[in-house]
Amino acid sequence: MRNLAEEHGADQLVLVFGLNEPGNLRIMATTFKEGDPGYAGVLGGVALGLPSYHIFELKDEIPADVWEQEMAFKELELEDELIEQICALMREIRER
Amino acid sequence: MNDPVIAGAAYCLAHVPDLVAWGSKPRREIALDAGFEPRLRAQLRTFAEAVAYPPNQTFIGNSSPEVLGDIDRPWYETRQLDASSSGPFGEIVGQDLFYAGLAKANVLEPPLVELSDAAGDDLQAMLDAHPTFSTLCGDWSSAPERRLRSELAGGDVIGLFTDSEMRGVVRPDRRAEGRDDANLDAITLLEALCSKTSGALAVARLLQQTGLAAKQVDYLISCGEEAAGDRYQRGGGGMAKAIGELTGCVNASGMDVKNFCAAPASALVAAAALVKSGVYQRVIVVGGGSLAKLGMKSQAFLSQGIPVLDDCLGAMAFLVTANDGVSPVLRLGPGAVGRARIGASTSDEAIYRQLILEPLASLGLTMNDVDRYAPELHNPEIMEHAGSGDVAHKNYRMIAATAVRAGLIKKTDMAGFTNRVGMTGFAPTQGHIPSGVPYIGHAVAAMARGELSRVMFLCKASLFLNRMTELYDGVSFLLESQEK
Amino acid sequence: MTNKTAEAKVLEGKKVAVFGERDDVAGLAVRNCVTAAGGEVVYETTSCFV
Repeated sequence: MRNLAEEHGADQLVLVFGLNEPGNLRIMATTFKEGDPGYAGVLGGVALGLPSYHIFELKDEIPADVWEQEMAFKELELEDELIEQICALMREIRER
Repeated sequence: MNDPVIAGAAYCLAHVPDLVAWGSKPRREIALDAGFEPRLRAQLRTFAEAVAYPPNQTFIGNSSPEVLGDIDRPWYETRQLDASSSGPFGEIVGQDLFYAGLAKANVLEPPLVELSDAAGDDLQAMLDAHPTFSTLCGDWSSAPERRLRSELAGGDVIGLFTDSEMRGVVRPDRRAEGRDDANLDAITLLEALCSKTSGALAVARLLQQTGLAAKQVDYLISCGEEAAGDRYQRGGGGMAKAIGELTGCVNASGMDVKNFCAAPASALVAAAALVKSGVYQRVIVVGGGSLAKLGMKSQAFLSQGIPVLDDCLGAMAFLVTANDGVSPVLRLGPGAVGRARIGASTSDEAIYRQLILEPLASLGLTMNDVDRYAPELHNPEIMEHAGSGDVAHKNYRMIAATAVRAGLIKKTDMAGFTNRVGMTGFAPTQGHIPSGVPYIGHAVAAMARGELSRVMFLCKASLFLNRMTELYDGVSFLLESQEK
Repeated sequence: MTNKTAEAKVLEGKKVAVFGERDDVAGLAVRNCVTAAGGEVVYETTSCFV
């Protein structure tokens, strides 16, 4: 991610997740914004400031026919509460 | 109906705590952090604990997925004191017996596996005394411990230990044709030997259970995910026949089917087709366990202070024969087997439509005609601690979503539908092992009791792991009761 | 389940790194959505944790 941020510019790079486990989302989104929370690895102490979104948050931007084809089944699969939890989590990390 | 039957299913777990450090994830962690191994060691379970672990009891048939679902978590704290290592369709074996099996699985000179003189006789006596596994065919070698220890110091050999006592070693192939071949180093050979040995245990158990003599087996199909071979033919195969040789199937031939986690289903369908066409009469499908996957989630277990739960090699074997009028039938015929076409969308919706709706429609059935669906049945206790969530549950949500899209149920019915046709996962995280087929033994028993008529097995495969494609595969098949 | 705010579009004209998961939302599905929304995918991975 650091290489990609350098290559494309951190203000041009956006992360979009299809992971649905809140724990994993929290760790990854936090790491790519603020640096590795464990201060380990390549991003230990390196804050790239990259924004992370979950695909469920971006429904409005995606043409309806594509969303229907790729994501409608997924919306059905996931419990509504989990979708809300995921969206709230991603928003919270971006906005803090 | 002339479709073939599944006449037997046998499952084995080999509890091998001292081999967990040789799993892929633990090896990499140990290479980075010298403190990892002692921390790992401190969280390993005893044989008794692994036997008493409710998902393991379910795997061998002493408990059912329904009963397991009613046991409060954490399951690793359950003390089922009367738990037996033997069940109606499976066995849990301990490490020393497994080491004895590894030694018998060696066919080379100089041997790839050699026990110490001090331990060898005791370990082999354990194997010979076991009512199920004394049938393994092969010689074994031993050498003085002193010599093995000095060999171990050389660095390219793996030591086999139990409770810090040496039992033997595993070597690379040091002959001229094997030297300097990374595919023939000790760890790669041990992976193949673990698959072979655990697969042989499952076949031995299957033969004992069904009463079939080894010499009556016509054909074996292996569905494991190991790659055994040298630099020129890295994943050439030959595992089915190796397992057949170790178990005395002297009249059988065999082949290996490679299809990642869908391989068990692919192999069962191939076996059934061979039987239905009359090419063979008694085919065993065998899947040996994966050393590489031991301790895959160990980092999570250690950081949460709980026992290392992925400490067992899983193995399974199924007998496919012509219709005997009694056993459940594996439905064949045009359209009966679900598949994922190369040119189709790889979306879950498209895959599940092909795996569930299309084959049922071909047979004039709907989703309501299936009593149970058996998708990936990974133990949720392992998967949730590892941060992957309950994989079985996710698959059931996809199955239920398919039913909604087919107009059979409403979105609000999804939870009820899942409760009716689903089950708790219970299989170890051994790749192809948990892929639907752990339920075959339970399904056969439930059908014999008249409790179920039809079960659909759903196996998906992440083919993209080969880096040659971005595709998935999926194979589904139906098992139907002949009980009236 | 979606944010109806007056924010500028998140994806259009942006470079996007996609992280999929086999049993959740696969990378390919996310990629197709992102591309349809005018984003350019520069990195994609789909994990298989089993």
